[in-house]
Amino acid sequence: MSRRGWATLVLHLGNLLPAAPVALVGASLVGALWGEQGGDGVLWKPGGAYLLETLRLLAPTGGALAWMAPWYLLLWVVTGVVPQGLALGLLGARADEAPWGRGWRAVPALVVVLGASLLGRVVALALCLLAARALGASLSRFSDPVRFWGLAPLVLIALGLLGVIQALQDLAAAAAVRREERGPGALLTALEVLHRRPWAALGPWAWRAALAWGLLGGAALVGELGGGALLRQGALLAACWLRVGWWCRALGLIDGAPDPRERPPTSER
Amino acid sequence: MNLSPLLARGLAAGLALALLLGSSRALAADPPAASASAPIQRRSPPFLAPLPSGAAPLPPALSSPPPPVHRTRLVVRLDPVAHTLQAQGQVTWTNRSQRPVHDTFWHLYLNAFQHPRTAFLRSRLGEGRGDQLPSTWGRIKLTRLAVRSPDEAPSRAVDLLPSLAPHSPDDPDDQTDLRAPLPAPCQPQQSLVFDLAFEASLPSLVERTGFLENFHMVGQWFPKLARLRDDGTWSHFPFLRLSEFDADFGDYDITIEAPPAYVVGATGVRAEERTENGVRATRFLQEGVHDFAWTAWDQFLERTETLDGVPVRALYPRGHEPAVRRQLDGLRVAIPCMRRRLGPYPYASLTLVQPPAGAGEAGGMEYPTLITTGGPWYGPPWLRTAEAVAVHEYGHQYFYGLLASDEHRHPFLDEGLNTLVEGLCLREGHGDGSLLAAPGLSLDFLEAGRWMGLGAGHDHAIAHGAASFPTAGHYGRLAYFRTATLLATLRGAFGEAPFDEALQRYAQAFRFRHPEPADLVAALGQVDPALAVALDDGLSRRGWIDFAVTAFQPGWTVIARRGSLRLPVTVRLRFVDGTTRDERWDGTSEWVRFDINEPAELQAVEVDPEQRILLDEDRSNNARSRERTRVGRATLERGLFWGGLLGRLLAP
Ligand SMILES: [Zn+2]
Repeated sequence: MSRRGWATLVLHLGNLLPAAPVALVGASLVGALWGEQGGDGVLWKPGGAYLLETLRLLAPTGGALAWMAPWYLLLWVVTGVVPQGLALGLLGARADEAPWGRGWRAVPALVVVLGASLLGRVVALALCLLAARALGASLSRFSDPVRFWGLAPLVLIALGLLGVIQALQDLAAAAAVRREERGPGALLTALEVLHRRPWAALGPWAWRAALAWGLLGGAALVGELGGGALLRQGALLAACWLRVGWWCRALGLIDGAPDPRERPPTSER
Repeated sequence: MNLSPLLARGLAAGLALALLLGSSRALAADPPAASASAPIQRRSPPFLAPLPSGAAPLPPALSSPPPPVHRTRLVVRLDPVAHTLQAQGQVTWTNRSQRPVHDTFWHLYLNAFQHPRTAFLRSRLGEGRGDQLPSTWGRIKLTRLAVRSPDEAPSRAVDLLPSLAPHSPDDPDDQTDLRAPLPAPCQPQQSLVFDLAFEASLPSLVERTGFLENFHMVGQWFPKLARLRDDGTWSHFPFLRLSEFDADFGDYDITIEAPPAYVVGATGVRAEERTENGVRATRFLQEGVHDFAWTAWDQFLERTETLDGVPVRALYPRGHEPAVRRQLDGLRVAIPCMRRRLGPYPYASLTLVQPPAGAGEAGGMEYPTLITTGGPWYGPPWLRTAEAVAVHEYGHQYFYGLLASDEHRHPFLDEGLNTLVEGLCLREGHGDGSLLAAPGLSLDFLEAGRWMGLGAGHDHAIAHGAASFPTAGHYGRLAYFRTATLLATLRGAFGEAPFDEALQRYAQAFRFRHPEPADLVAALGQVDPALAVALDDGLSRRGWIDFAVTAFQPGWTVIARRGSLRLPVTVRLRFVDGTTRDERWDGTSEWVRFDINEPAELQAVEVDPEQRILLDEDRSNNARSRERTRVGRATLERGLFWGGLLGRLLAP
């Protein structure tokens, strides 16, 4: 298998691993409820009698575990840098180099990059919310649909901002792995790449992201109508493949950027 | 009223889990295979108590309203800037009871909003509606209340104002229930004329009534005579948070004066409209109803349609066409559905009011021939909440409107029966997806309501007065959803067709009357005496039920009926040779044991395989099998997918 194939697999497994215990607990609980009534096939019977009964009977269990959810999600997010680093390491290692070391070494920098990205997302969303409040107030004399559609551009702006931040984060991650830069340096490199070649950076990211989410959304919907498992798991794998494709591109962009040692002193830390 | 927010909130919490627990798509229920000829011996402990039998005969059906108890004629002027009303007129009232009457009781509901210490505003009942204080207080003040006989001139009327006194027991702060002694006893069938005039200030919208900017929803706005029962006692009570109303049928003749820019909608038929001196007066007439509500707003758009012969006038804010179209779609199904189930809608108009955004407290409410809906201008097409609110409020034209039960003492009689019929009519319109129909997922309204209904069944009986529920949540779960779940259970257990026929007989017999819980038990009990016993137990004594397979061996199995309700149920026995046999168990004993004397041994047993017993507290113990799945594989796969999706969203 090519390095790109391995990277896709690493990313995919890294993605499923934290979901697995949750899914297994859920599946076991459902098995305990309906294991003697033909298994969980009953859940999607028309009218939802079994599905609603499952939710009702498991609500106390869910409620008791709910306190863990934010912590588990945080852990999920932070540990996500490991498969990211390993996959980028596979893609960014030189031919004569062992494939894992570079990725491992980049993990601390990737955590910094992730932190900056999360902060950026929070700020971007907060700004959009403030703008929505102001705009909503100024549209208050219009009818409800006008207000709704008047706010729609802000949703697009918010999505665009989140996209740019995601692309920047990936570029910085690529810099951290390829050039073994530390977090702030990697972020600066990413900004520089985005500044110099914005369309070359955002274009390949955007179409792949749009395609990936289109596939995932389509699988979620169409999977309910038939052929579910194959479609859904295939879409997850394809989304990882697309992401890895973009990372290859990001590594190339980093290679094309000026070396940090050649940067003018003002941009040094 | 409508409590769908409660249902929606419960549902939203559930749906999040649903996505995680997903599974493969719909499997049709296995049809029973040709029945095995295995001789099955049945054993159960002796039956403990004999069931009562025989039911009271129902009164003859009335095809038109009985002679009115009152004729109410009022002229009311709205000042839409000050949000005040000025009105005067007469109430001609007849003592239709069998006893002389010495005093009268008047409800001045708007006084519930005059300060924070009223019985209404000081009750804090948690989840539900109307828990906030108004930003502008409301009140009503009688400036004239005088009584005379119909042949006397108004000048000879006896002033009742000096003797008018609050009558909310031990509650000096509440002025919503007032007593006015009569100068002389009023004999049965004798009529009196009350001349009255009053001024009222509308509150900012609290619950059901008030204003938001120029929008006015005017309910419970006039001094309203309490209902005189047949035995000469008055049904009167202070206005409380959870309590609705109880009133006598009468004829209303109301003229509403408002600036010409205002669109006015009201109970009854528009009979006359004229504009003089910059004021437009619209006269509304309606016979055979027990309340009158109206709305006025200078922004209303209007749409009229005739649905199943009923002229419907929809009033709604700009941009709310999509919601109103769906509400009318709901009525398109509900009007014929309820005609078939409960008898024809007898009035010549129906007005549907969709309040503007921010005026949600005016929405989801029923008045005779006028309903208010609500919700956002647009909702996801797969969720039926817009249809459901219209169907619910229209259903109240029967359970509340025509079957005018006492909403204060027996809220389940209107809300519970209405919730059942709402669910059945939504099912008629949308099949299995009567609450939600997304690709591969459908949820039934009554199944979702069952979740709410099972929530408080052990805490409190259903059959309580509105004032005796400890929280709004108990009221909603019990009066609405547990009642509907109990009735749907009885319908499933004793047969849908006979139940529907009995419900129709009840609806016909008590049309234009004031049915009591015993009337419902008697009417539905005609299906089966055991139904009457179960209904009474379920309503009054927290009756509950949980069928469970408690033992399972290749040659025998035991089914237990936990709880107090005794309901018949189907037990499906599946044999190793693939054959299936349905056994009917009357559920009167505490348990039943099936012994199989056949070479073919049991493969599986399932009690209530068609989920007819909605009240069954735990359906997961309803089956046992030789095969057992430990992990739901489809759930696992879907959990991985949605987890992976979340990971793609969250992880770097
Ligand atoms: Zn209601």
